[in-house]
Amino acid sequence: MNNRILAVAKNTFKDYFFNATSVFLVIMFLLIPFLCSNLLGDGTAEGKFRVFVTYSFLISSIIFTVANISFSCSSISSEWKNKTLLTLDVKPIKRWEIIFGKWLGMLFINLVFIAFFILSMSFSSLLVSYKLRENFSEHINIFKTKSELFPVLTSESSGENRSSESQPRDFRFFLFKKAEDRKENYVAKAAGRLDWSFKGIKLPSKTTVPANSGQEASEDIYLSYRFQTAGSKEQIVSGYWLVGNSSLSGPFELGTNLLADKIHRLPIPPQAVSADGQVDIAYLNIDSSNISVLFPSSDFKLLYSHGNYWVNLLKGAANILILVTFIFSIGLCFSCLVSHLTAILATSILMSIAYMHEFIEIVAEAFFREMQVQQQIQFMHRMSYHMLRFFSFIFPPLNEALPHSYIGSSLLIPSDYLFALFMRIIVLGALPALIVAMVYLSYRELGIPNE
Amino acid sequence: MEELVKLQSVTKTFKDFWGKPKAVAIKNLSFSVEKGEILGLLGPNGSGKSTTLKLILGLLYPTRGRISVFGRPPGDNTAKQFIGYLPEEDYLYSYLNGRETLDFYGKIFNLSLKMRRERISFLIDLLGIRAYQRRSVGEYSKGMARRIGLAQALINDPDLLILDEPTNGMDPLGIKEMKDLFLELKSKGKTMIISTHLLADIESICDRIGILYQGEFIAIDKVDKLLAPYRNETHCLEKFFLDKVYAEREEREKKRVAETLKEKEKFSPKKPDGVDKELLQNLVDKE
Repeated sequence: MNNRILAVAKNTFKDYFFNATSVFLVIMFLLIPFLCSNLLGDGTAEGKFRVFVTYSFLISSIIFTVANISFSCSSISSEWKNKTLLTLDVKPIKRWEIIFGKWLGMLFINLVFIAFFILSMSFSSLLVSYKLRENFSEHINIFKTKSELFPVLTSESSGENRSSESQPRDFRFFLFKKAEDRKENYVAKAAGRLDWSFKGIKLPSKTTVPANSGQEASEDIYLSYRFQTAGSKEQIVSGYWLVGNSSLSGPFELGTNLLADKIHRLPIPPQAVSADGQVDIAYLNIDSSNISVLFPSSDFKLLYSHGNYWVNLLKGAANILILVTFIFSIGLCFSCLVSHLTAILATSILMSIAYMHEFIEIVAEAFFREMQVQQQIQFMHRMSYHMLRFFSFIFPPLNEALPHSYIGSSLLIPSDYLFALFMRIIVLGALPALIVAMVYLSYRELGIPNE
Repeated sequence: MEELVKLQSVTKTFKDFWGKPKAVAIKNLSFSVEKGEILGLLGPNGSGKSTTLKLILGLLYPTRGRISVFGRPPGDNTAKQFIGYLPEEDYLYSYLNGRETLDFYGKIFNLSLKMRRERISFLIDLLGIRAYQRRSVGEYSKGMARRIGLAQALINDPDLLILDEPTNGMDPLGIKEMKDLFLELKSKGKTMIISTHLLADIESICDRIGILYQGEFIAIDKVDKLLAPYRNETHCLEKFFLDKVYAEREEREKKRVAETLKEKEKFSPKKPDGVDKELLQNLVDKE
């Protein structure tokens, strides 16, 4: 990397880091996890830990967002206003080098802030664990993390064979995730049966094997699900589960009488998992009241202990880095185009839309359904629908880059999920913004004030 | 002699947000600066001196005409290696100290660490800023900031120096030191374009002087030639400048009046002898 870009990066780092605001931010990032470690949660060990991690990451993400909007929106516009940009531009440095140097400087600043935050999170996590050991005698090791798998539906008794791959490996899927894939439901009609297969389970080598196979299973692996019925919300339904794999002589049988609309856990015996990490699960609807059971696919997943909390913290840091990189790239772009205040306003609006990404998708779907129902589809409705779909497409899903929803639930952030976020947010979002900024500034007369 | 800077029929019109012409800053300007020459640009406020310099530096683009600097278009990075620029105000980073400022700009010129250190040390001593080199630029007085500004313009030992009001805000001692420095640079073969409206600063330094008025040269020639008629007078450059500007102003005003009369003749009834004497008297009285 050439000296000019590094010189501008170092200059940017000095400008934003060695001042009172940054000192305040560092103190905040050090304090927040410590303060959140005192939250009580729901009174259980897991609840307390979940609240600690969730709020630490959530509050810090908000502070990162605000700080980066402020820094990035003043990066070029304030230099232009102060005319230090003129003194720099007459030197043998290309304008894209100035922008890239600024971008790099802001990246370094954020890396330092994230380092302080992770340091504080690590220390506070140890503190929380220590407190939990004191107050909860049966507390589970909070540093255990789980991976989640969504199933492949292999067959159902009532209809034609439908196998839908809900974990496609296609690269394009990660970029353009279809909303329909998340809306699938598994329906077991009265006396019906559903069969699923979970592939890719990696159990830790020290997974406990219970002495009696079948009814008792370790907490290392379980099916988490919720179901609904057409009846009352908390209807009790009788079902029968078969769990196993082709290498076993017979499946494990588990009968259940459970409430609808609640999250349930079905412990899976580790022996039910085959050597190549596959387990097959079948549900039989044996309820005599002739009632169908509906499993929402988003609530139907296998959770197993895998991965390291500390690695997960680093993945959470990577999540935050993806988020802030997008924010300061957009802010830097607007800083080249308009004045400081206008850039802050524009960046804030854009961030808000990107954070409400899921909401936009829901509203777009509602519009679509409304349009299908209406006899006469009005032009404004059609325009609104297409506009919402456009926003949903071009704005990256920043709400998915918030790490607390994973780490707060003790879930391991999948690496391919991180990669998908990186592609969607950085490559398709931040990079075009930087290119626009570089091209615009290259042709702009710097001798005329910016707005 | 090699022409380092050349402007050919350059016009600069500033436009508003909608692209409508707002103000013509430079009109059909043509001149060149030869190697080793010091050109002084004089003119009242708003005459287009700073605009001309910014056009040469590539900070503004000409509406019409051509500019070349070291045989390349303005803003070319290869040419910028040999240019040093001191703006009319000190646009420096307030959070850096003097040394850091020079080091930063030295890195932009890709100077090696050793060369940067030597150069910075030399410039600090040359411009007398050793005592406050470690203080933030934001804490500097006007004169101190001006010295640092000149130091950053000289960090790359440029062949062409463009100075916009270099003695702005400096005390008499500082002005004297700066003038001595300019003469020293001239003896080393440096080329300079100095824009100022402090006439006493440049009379003894410049080889050629150009006087700008409303975006046009009203005089541009060697100092001796321009000031020959005024040699017996004190403050001869000042006298010459004022005479020239007043004369130009008067001539332009007469032209404007004549044009206004012509316009009015189209619409107002003519007296038997063809001239509206009352209107003419009103206009003359106004003057």
